[in-house]
Amino acid sequence: MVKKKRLLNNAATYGMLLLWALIVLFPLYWVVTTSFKEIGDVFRGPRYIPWVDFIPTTEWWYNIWTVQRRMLLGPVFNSLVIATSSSLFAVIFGTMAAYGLERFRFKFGHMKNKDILLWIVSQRVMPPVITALALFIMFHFAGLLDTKLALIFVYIAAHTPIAVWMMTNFISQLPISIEEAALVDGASRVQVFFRIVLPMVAPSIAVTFLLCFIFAWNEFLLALMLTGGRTQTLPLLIAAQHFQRGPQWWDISVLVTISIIPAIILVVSLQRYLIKGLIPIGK
Amino acid sequence: MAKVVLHEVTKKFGDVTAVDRLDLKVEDEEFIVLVGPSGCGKTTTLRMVAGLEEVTQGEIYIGERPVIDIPPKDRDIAMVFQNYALYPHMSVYDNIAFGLRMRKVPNREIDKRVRQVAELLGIADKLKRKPKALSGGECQRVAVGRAIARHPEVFLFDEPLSSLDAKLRVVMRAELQALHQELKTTTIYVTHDQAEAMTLGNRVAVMRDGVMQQYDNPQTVYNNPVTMFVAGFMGSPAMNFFPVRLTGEEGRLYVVNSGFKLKVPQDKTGKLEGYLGREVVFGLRPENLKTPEMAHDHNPEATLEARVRARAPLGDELLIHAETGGVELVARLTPQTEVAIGQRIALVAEMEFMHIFDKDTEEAVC
Repeated sequence: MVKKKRLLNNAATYGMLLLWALIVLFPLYWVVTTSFKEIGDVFRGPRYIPWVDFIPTTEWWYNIWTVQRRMLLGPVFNSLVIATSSSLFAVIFGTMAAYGLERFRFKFGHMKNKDILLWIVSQRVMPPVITALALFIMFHFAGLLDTKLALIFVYIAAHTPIAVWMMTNFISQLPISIEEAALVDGASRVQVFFRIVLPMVAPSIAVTFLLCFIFAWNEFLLALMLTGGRTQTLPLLIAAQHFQRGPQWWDISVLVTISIIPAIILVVSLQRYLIKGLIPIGK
Repeated sequence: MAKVVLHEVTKKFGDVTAVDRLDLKVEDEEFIVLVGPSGCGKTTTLRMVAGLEEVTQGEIYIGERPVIDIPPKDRDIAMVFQNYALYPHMSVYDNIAFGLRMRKVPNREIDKRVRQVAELLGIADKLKRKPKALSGGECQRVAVGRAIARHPEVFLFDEPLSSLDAKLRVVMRAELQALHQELKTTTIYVTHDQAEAMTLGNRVAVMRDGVMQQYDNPQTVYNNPVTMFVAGFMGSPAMNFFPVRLTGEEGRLYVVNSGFKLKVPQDKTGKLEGYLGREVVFGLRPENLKTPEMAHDHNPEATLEARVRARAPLGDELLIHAETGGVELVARLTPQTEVAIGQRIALVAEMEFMHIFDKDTEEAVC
């Protein structure tokens, strides 16, 4: 009886998980299959299963790889450079700020550590559209419109708060006595940070970097405001397909599929750290 | 090696005074133990010596050097923490070598010292392991190894054995003792365990609420506690305390309560004369209460009657909890003693080991 009940329980659990997985994966499946459909199959009602509902074609993939390659490579390169470098700096600044906020007492006017942290995080809570126009004017005067540098600056500013917030949480879980041991052992504060704290929070840094990277990789609004033909990023390119040439779902699907790949590579390569970074740090 | 001197050291956290005008002098090569219940300021004191806690007032000297403005790394001390505080991402070898590397010791010398220390502590075969792969006792040895490899002026130990199980604690206690015999480095050791304090320290400083109560060699602290607190804290089971009145008859002194009337030995009467007729606290350790057979004596003026409420046979001894005159007492008897719960027994008090404390100041009178 008990065994049967457990079996039933398990079946229910896995049934729910399966359902959830279907809900999450279906859009992905739809995008990927659409990238292999003929134009006719796209518009002639839903077609679900290749070789049954429709005959797949590699035409669009071939097309992107040959005729439109130049169109694609520019934005991919831009997105990679911008997302990687901005996330890198956001994580570096974020970790340093988080360490400072966790280990030292600050007073800034009437604000103490907790208030300063909240103030930093609140920068991220504010909808970015509020600052978009101001940023546009600023970068216009600075002569940085349509440069990668502009977006890198903006993304560093936008993602440092997330990094500070996440890293504060991670660093607060480190036992302080390890750092004190290093101080007594003869290390300076800077040495403690680089030789003791950084290695201990490496998994958390990986998680934070990944999150910042995905945000930057997908960001649309600020990229739309601040870039031009030379610095178009991947999300803009995808949107542009629709605006410039009508709903060309097949091309859009190919581009979307390509745009997901870096995130997947990152998650898979950082997986070991992700699991460690998301659970509290032990001994 | 160096001596350590704390002069009128005070530490305040906001309005709370954690350590209050503490004077402490540790001689060169001495092993002293700071002992007291949690929150008594002993760890704070140690951390001030280490430089991990700022001193609110007062001065600390290591050797001849005032150190309160010197950062921990330049104080030439080594500290062993309660939770070991090993660097989790480094191997045992690197953990021990870290301090030496920070001090730019040449690599060949580092290697020599790490291996020497590992040999001494019996962890030579664990050098490549990460702390996660070590047992509690091994972690403790690595933590000690990290401290001694540097040949510092002073060792600081912050409850280093409290995370170990009881058996291992006794083993490590003996090892630490042997280590100090060999290295002779000045050591300040913090613990809340009075047995650890008694066995390890050349001298023991008992602290309470940030104030030092007594600082002397362990036997003196045990035999002649200066306050009721010290008397109750050192020794297990704790000293028995009885509220009594001092009365005099024909030139003799007695401690009297509703359960007993015991004669004070002649050599103690001098100090007690001022307390004649007053209420005081009479203290006697559990081992100074004996059955008449054990004491070979049935002097009625040193005997009290008590009703047994509980017995705890510990193998090598028998502790009985009993009640006399409304006060609980503990007596440490030989395991052969036959007593039953509820039984009334006679206990002979070894009055030459008695203590009298002032009821109000809790200070020892004799």
